[in-house]
Amino acid sequence: MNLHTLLTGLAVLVLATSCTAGTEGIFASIEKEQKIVTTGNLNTAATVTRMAELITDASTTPKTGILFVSGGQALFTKSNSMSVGTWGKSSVGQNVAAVGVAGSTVYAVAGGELWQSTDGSNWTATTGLAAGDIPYDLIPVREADGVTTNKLILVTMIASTDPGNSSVTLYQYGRIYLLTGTGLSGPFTLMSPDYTSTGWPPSSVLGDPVISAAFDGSNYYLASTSYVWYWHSGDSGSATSAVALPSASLPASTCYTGLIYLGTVSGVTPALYIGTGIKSGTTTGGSLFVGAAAPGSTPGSWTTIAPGVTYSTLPVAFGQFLYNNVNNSLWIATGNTTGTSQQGTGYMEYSLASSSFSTTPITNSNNYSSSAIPTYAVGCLFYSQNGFYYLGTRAHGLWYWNESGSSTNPWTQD
Amino acid sequence: MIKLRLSCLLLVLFLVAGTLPLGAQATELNYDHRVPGDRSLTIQFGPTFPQGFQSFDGKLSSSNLIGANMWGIAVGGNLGIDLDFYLTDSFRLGGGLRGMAALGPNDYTLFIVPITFRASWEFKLYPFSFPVGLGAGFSFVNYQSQTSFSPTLAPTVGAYWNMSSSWSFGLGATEWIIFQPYFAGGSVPPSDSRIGYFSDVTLGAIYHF
Repeated sequence: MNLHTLLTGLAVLVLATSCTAGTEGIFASIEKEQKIVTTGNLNTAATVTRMAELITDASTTPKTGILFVSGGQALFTKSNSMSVGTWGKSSVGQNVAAVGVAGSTVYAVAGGELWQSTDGSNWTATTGLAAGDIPYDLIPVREADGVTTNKLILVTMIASTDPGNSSVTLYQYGRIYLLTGTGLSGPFTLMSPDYTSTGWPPSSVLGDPVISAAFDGSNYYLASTSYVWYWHSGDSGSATSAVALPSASLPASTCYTGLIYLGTVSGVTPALYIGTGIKSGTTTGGSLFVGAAAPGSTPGSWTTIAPGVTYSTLPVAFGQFLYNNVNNSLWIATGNTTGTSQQGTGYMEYSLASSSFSTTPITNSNNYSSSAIPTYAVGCLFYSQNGFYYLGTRAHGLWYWNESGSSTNPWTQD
Repeated sequence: MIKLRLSCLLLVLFLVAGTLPLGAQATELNYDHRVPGDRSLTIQFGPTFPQGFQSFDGKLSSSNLIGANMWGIAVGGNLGIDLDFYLTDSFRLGGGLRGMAALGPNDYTLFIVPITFRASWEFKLYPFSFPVGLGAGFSFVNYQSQTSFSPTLAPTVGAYWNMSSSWSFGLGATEWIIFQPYFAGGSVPPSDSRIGYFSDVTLGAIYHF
């Protein structure tokens, strides 16, 4: 073997350096890995940010299904036959950030990967994501009835180097995928409509993640914390931008907290409801905006509904609205958090019948059993086909409300 | 009486004379001389101690270090085989194949298979030898669905008792330094670049032939 051959061989080895099959460094993924809680059930201090339900047999009444709960650790599951307070676990992986159902497939973001299953037990990695996209969250897309969810928005991150400091890695949001009953499509890039700087985020890509989504039957409404989007179905297949919603009457500088489109609710004028919150350190926001819009169109004007004196400020919420067909009202998840000035309410209820917030707002004083609840944000609101409304909290477990049960003190911890 | 004394003297002389060859043989065993072309085959096994990960800017991971929290990688095990060729009495070149396994935070198994080429120097103090070496090569690293092929450095020390000219037994210790650098444009972001540190202590048997 001569020197040239040896050097060539070494060069080939160097080129093969650290080839990794996957999208994460192995050591880095172990470093980020959080231990799955292997004992006990979904406990009273659990964090629940996403819920989903996979129907496994639609011929029964109620339909047979599996509930999924995620909040950063294990993926908890519950079948119809399991009693209140009892949960199983599915071994999708570690650090389960989100779960959702699209069609007959349940998806989970775990360990920075997207997984899918048709039975809730056997998981396979979902393929088709663009190189560099790191799955981050699954946003349920509320249908026009304000309750059901048949589609998901997959929010991804891309890691890149800070152009101003090469030693700093920044994670950029802005690309999404659509998950429907037919699979995954995308990526779609949300472009910031007014971003002109060449700095961060680069290329005017939206820098914050989508937090809420609704579907009017043919078009999508998306909310990030900075913008609200009207995403024409014609944009499907495009890798370019969605269209920002006309915002003439919307506050110019605020923090959007979530949205819902009610288009098929009996007795309710089709309308888009957008919540705004308070950005940290500011006093803007804190209202509910209603814009009437027929399916396939955008609202031409907005009506502002302030929550009232008692709840004159809606703290930063977490993107979840849910229609309550018992009370004909909207449930709006609200924050949090520390400090009395932004003391949260857990969630609020807006009566569609009276176009006002409930006079007996749902706080710690009545429906929750614990006074600690309002200090925790609500992570998700969910309606199951078994007739239960669920409310997942951040750090205070999961609560259910049986629509056929008592209305005076409905919330029970599951 | 005189005959008896003479007999005893002869017996003593005989015994002394009889031990001389034994003494000469012991002298030969005082030093196991290796010559170029001699080979040694080492089989070893023992525990592997994951120590932690470090990014390329020098920052040590705050998690998953042994002892830092209970969620880290557990102590694992290893099994290996080395083949070395003596170039001089004390210097040898060789290579080794090692298999290491340890459980991650959620009991998924981390497999590491380093293949290294190594240069070793042996310090000798009969009947012991103390090899010190440096290995370099690559490691196949597998965890869940991911596999990587990563450059590896492996400094090693040992202490062996030379039971005979053919067999030695003792302890070895190796520090495995496994590099996982990633570059822009690849499927793995550069921010995931890490250096992994693992050490092992092994019981080893060396066959010289």
